Amino acid sequence: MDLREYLGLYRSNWLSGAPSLVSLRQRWEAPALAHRGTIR
Amino acid sequence: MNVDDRAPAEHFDVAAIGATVRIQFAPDMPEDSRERVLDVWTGAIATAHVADAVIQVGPHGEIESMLEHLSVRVTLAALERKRGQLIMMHAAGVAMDDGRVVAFVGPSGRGKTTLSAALGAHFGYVSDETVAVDRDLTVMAYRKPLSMLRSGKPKEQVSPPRAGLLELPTARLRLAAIVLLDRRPGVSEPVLSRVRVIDAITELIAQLSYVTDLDAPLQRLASLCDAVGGVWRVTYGEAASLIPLVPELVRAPPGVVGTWTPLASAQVGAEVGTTEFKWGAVSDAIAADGSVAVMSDGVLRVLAGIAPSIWIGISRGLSFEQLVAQAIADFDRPPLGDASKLVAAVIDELVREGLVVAEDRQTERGTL
Repeated sequence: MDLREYLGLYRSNWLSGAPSLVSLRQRWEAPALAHRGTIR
Repeated sequence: MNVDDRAPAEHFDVAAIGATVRIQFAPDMPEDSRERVLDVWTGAIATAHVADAVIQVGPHGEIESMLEHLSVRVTLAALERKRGQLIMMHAAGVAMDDGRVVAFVGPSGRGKTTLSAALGAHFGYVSDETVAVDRDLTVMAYRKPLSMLRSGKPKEQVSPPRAGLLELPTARLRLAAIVLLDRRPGVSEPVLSRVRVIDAITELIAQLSYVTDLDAPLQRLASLCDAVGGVWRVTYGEAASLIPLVPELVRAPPGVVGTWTPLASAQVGAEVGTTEFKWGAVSDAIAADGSVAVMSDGVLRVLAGIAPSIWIGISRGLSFEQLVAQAIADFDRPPLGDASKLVAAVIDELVREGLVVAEDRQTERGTL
């Protein structure tokens, strides 16, 4: 499976409505870790 | 139950999320205290012959404090008994006449008891504390007493009938909707919105008990989100404003479901990667909407930015150069900076988080 499809990147861009190239390139500048939480 | 007209009860059983918990009175427990305990648990009386857990209750201290503490003990005993079997959500639940249940999930202080009191007058009262659900969406009720606030005094424990809450329908209870509570004083009209699966899991998981005892917990939760047509968030001010939403929620067409991918279970726990990089110890992982949720050592992490591409690339045996090429293929070239350095920085962070193990040669590469 294509990695973009695997990651749901197409859906992500479709859902956000953002132009795909701009949206994807912004990901280089996004934090690698969006959340960290200890599980009870 | 061994209650009769001649002798005070020595014990009685309550149903709590599918477990039977026996409340056993100490011999010196006064009869009026026994009657009070029995009264507040009226809504949860079970008639099982075998108890899963036994809780001793003695005549110590103030009765309302004892009752409040007893609720906690019953809850903990039931959660312990059902760990690893059910998804147990910190939630208020109500049931429609046909058995469909809506679970309103939120931490303590988010208004679950107030919500139960308001909704339970119109729909069957399932719980104000824990909504537990089996793989086939069957809901296990826990009709515990409600802890009602009284100014300047301990909370008062009130039985569901005394609080005016309705009985459960005879139909099988099954989960139809999950709603994350977002209470904001001053909001007059409640607003419903859909929550994407990884965001939903991230919020839900903080309100679940014994998550790490479940097999493949992230996949199980994602499947649950799909099965109920996606998770909702409701922003509201007053509990009563949610009454008309309950039938709407169970009737709503499914949202975007099936958007997640399990990261191959065969990879989890195995040696994954190349000699250059490997996954760290991971118990479960899913990908959705451009993110990856990973559970490892009792910690949930959500990878974003370019990290999902890199982490999955490592599982596919890509070398460092191939990971850089993959990231460029996935995200185009970075607006600023060098792609190799950015990828190396992400790998370093994944190593620090324990999600990637790098061979010595790589950890020493420094300014790759």
